[in-house]
Amino acid sequence: MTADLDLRAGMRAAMPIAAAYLPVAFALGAASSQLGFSIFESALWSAIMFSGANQALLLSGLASEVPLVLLALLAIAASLRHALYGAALAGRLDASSAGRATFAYGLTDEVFATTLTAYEARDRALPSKWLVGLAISALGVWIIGTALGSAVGDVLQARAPGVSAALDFALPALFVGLVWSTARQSLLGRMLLSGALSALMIFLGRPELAIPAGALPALIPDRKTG
Amino acid sequence: MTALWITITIIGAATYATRVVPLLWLRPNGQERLRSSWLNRLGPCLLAAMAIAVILPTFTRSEGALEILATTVGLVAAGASMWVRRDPGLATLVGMIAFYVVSP
Repeated sequence: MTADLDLRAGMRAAMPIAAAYLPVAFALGAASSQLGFSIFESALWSAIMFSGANQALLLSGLASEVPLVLLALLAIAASLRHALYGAALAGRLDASSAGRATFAYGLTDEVFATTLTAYEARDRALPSKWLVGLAISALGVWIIGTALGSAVGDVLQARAPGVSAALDFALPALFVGLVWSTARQSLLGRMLLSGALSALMIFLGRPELAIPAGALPALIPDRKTG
Repeated sequence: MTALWITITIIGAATYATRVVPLLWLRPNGQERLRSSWLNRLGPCLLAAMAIAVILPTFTRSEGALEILATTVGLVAAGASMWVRRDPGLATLVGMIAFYVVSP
């Protein structure tokens, strides 16, 4: 195995994700006080779910007094998009079952995007150590961020709103970099169509369908040449 | 409180299942098969959709022209950084700094 894809390289690859996760985890941690969570319980909540979308859904649903069973069903339905990520990555990994199982625990939207980008840049399958370094680092930052948010999140939001807003911008900036890295001539048309379908779903008020709809252009077959 | 933690555990377990099952189940035989399959096209298409899902709300949530300008400058700066050096981590940092400098 080459050194550029070892455990430490995986952890380094997680740094942009860490910058993007900290403010979101902070906000969730600060908001978790409305669930009556202690700092430890906030961290445990993030460790068990590790999904910003599902955690936000739980917070907003409980505030609106939505029944827990319905919240669970909605969260599970929203999580089905992860199956697409696994399907897209499965053939791009050179990892054992244990490595895949560990990596899968941290397979969030951003970890998927970073993994795909790393594969496209090197054009070879990614090994277990790199994958585990990436996913576990992202998970660690998420847990720490939630705990910190639970402890001091409200104070930072109130005293340094400019810094807080800049941290919020990490996610859009990260995605510019990730899409740029992955874009290639043969897929440009399909990627533009994916983006357009995603935008359409958002404008139609169905943001939960934005990513699944964006998957559809992948089904358009390649044009035969020669 | 117990019911809440049971719900959290169920959602966590189900989320993990959606993440792990395809990774353990789907193992294409070799790179050639992957290259020619729809799975090869799926990743970049998902990524483009995710980017729009993340970026578009930053514009629609903006409260004024200066905030829209800061978002635009931040995105352009991140893109310019990628143009100069293909490093998503650096682009994230450059985009955040540009956004911070311009934002109201």
